[in-house]
Parts: sequence; structure tokens; C-alpha cells
Amino acid sequence: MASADLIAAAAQTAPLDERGVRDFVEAHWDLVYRSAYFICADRWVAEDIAQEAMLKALRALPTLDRSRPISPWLSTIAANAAKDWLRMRARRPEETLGEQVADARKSGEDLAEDLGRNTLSDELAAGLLELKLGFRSVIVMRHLLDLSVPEIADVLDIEPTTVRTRLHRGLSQLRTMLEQKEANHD
Amino acid sequence: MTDALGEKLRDAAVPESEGRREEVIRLALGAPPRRLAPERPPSRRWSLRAPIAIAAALVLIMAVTLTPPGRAIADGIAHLVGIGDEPTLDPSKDQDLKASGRAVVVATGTIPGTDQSIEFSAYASTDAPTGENLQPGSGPPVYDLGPTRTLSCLNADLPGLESQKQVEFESLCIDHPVDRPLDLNSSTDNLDRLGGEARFRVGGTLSDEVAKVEVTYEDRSGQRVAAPVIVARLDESIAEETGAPLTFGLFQAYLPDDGSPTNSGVVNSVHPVVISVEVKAFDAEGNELASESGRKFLPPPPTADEIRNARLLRRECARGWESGICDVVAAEP
Repeated sequence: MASADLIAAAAQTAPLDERGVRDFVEAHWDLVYRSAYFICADRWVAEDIAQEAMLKALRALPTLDRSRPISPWLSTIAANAAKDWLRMRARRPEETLGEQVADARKSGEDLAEDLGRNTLSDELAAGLLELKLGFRSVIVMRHLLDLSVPEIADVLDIEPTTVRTRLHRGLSQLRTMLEQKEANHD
Repeated sequence: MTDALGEKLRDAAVPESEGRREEVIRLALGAPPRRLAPERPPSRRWSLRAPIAIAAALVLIMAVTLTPPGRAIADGIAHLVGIGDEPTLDPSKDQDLKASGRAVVVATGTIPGTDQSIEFSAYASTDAPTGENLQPGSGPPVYDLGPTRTLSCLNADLPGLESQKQVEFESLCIDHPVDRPLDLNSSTDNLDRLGGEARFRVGGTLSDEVAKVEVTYEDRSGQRVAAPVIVARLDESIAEETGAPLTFGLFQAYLPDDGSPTNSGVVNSVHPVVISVEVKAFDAEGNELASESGRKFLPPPPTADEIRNARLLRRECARGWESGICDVVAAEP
């Protein structure tokens, strides 16, 4: 599979052929979809967000500034696509997400069980899905999409200090949650 | 570089999405969108109940213009005449807002240039706010409006299109009267996935006295042309039927992509076609009540970093750098 940078370079020369498109999507789909899933806790919405981000990125590849690395660029596009959903979501109370998040968590647990696994990764993911949306989104953007605090602040249109606060509080809650689960197991 | 937490999250089990990934590849290669089979859990699936026409009982105000540039993109929208009694999808199921009465379809039609149907429904909803603004400073705030209240909602859905969330249209609930005749307040740019020529949609709310809406935009040649417009209304009869306490209207207009350069989506961008939009609202006598411009969607002024980056790109382009981004940079003011 060609590297993302090579694909980007090719896209600036001529329209990508099927192989190029496939390579690009397959190289980046998982991260974009996974990030969207952890933010919105809904598989179908996550697929929509990932689709929107990937198509936008593919459209923009021919005009990509090649002096910039592609991963942060794509992460920002993914984060912006997720933000659109967050904006729509912002009109609605967090409490109404309860059932949806519970569904997502159950789905994740079922999936882990089906795969015969219950790893720390799965525990973390389940815990993450229990956090409030505001916390989840910054944790995903920071740790999965690898955006910097100023970049997240830009995307979400909030102050960097707010991002840091949410990161700190969200990670603290996540840690407490995992510790409690661990204690319950013992 | 992803850190340890990121690595763990990359390794966590998430629901599979290979089907959608393949669909994205198809779409990127120019294939028409495929209607995916419904996969949602039963509580979210489309019901197959067909709308029953009871047009006489419901009032729909619809304005359609059919003169966009080039090929007409408004073919289907003129068929916006069917009115049913119950939505194909219970809007409260998908909007996370509990319907306190029955939901009724106030308009059905087709997305311009496609065979994708669109269905507008009205309903009342009860809502208990948390009092917390989930996204302070970003987008519409979560209003702290006190204890449980009853909202009046208009919702648009795309029956049969499983992956509807990102093109889920206006799903607007209000808890206070719409006092301005016209409020242009939404813009969406992902209609291309529906396979038609309409690429953008703008929309907003209307007060009761508005009887007609006209939307025009400037095409690439500078000509001002009309866009197809739908107006759906939650009027008094529907309010009575649904238990919604307030009446208001919702409009949507569809715009093609005229090929003007836009940026990559890294910075929030607004397409020139959307910026050029002019909306006018008229009463039943044809008097203009209000007008709005798509310029309100213009993003805030660029930051110092963005200006510095643009200068750098312009310099490189002036030196002969052959990149598509030079077209974008040249088009920016």
C-alpha cells in the first residue's frame, strides 16, 4: 500500500485511480471512524462522520499543501466533521444521550466478549463511553487524533484552558472509574 | 505520535464498519450512493407505514422555483404535495426528544435531482434540560430553561436512507415564539452524497405571517438565479393535532456546486454559493417582510497564523509552485 504522503502527491498530479482511493481510505478509515465512534457513541453516526471526513479529504487532496504532514491535516478534518455533529448535539441535553451511550457500551462489551477478549483497551473504551460528551470529545481529539490543545480549542471554538480543564477532569474521571471497576473485580 | 492511551483506544473493540468503508470508496470513485439496508436496532428502524394523504386537513405552504442554472435541479421538489398522518420514522426516536403527543407529516417530497424522498413532520416534545452548556462558546448553546417544558418541533427525515444522520435536515424544536419573520440559520454542504446536483442546503425559521420565501444565489458567472425552496409549517391546526404549544415555519433551499474553489475543510469554510445567498420573506399580500444574506455564514476573520500561512503559500505560488492550492489561495481575498 502506498504511503499517505505518496497518495497525496499522486492526487496532485492526476485524479486518483481506484487503487489510490482504496489505499487512502483503507489507510485512514479506522482512525477516523474509531474517533467518531468514541465521540458520538453511535455506530451509524460515526460511519456518517467518517464518510463525510474521508470524502472531504479526498476532494481536498489535490489542493493539499504538501509541506504539511497529512495525518494532522486529516485529523483536523475528522475533528471538524465530528464538531458539526457536536454542534447539532449541543441543542440537546446530555441526559438524553444516556440510552445511546448505554447501547454503545453494551455493544462494545458484547463485541469484546464475541472476540473472546476483555483487554485493558476494551475497559478503557467502555469507561470512555461513560464520560460526558464534552470530556470524551477532547480526550479523543487529544489522544486518538493526536491534536494539540490549541488545535482542539480551534476546532471546538473554546479556550485552550477549557480544553485542558476538560482533559484533566475527563481523564481523572476515567481513572477513578477504572479503579472502581478494578476494586469491584477484586 | 499517538500516546499510550491513544494506542489502547486504537486497539479497543469497536463495531465493524467495512461496509461503509467500501461505500466511501465507491462514492469517491463517482458511483451513485447506494441505499444501505437498515441495520439499526428495532427501536430506531424505519417503520413501513405509508403516509396517508390528508392534505385537506393540514396546511403546507410551499414555494418552488424551477430556474436554477444549467440543468434543472428542482425536478422532484415540485411533487411536494403528499401529506400523511404519521411519519415513516417516529421523529422523537431519532431526535432523543420524547414526543408528548402524536407526530404528523406536514410535507413529503423529493430532494432535487434525486429520487430520495424527504418527509417533514411536526410534533410536540417534552424536554428536561440539564442546565449545562455542553459546548460553551461553540455553536448553539444548551439553553437553561428551567424545569421540563413542552417544545414545538419540525423535523425533516429521509425515509429509506439508512445513513441519514449527516444529512438529517432541520430538526428544530422551539420553546419560545419565533418573533422574527425570517431567520436564516443553517447551512449544510454534504448533499452530494445523495447523488443529485444539489450540493448545499440553507435553511431557517419563519414566523407565522410569512407566506412565501424566495432564495436566490449568484452563480459563477455572476448571474443571480433562484433556488428551489420548501416551506413546511407547524400551523394552528397541526399544533392542535400534535399538542405543540407554538406555531412556526421552516424553510430549506437547495443550491448546486458551481465549481468555485473552496478550501480543504481544515479551517471552517463556506462555499461562495452559500455566501451569495439572498433570502426574502413575503406575507400573503406579497409584501416583503424581511431579508437575509448568506454572508452571515462567513467565518470569523483569519488568525495571524492563517494570514502568515496564506502569505507563505502565495509567495510559493508566485515562485511557480504548481499546486492546486494556488488556485484556492488566488481566489481568497
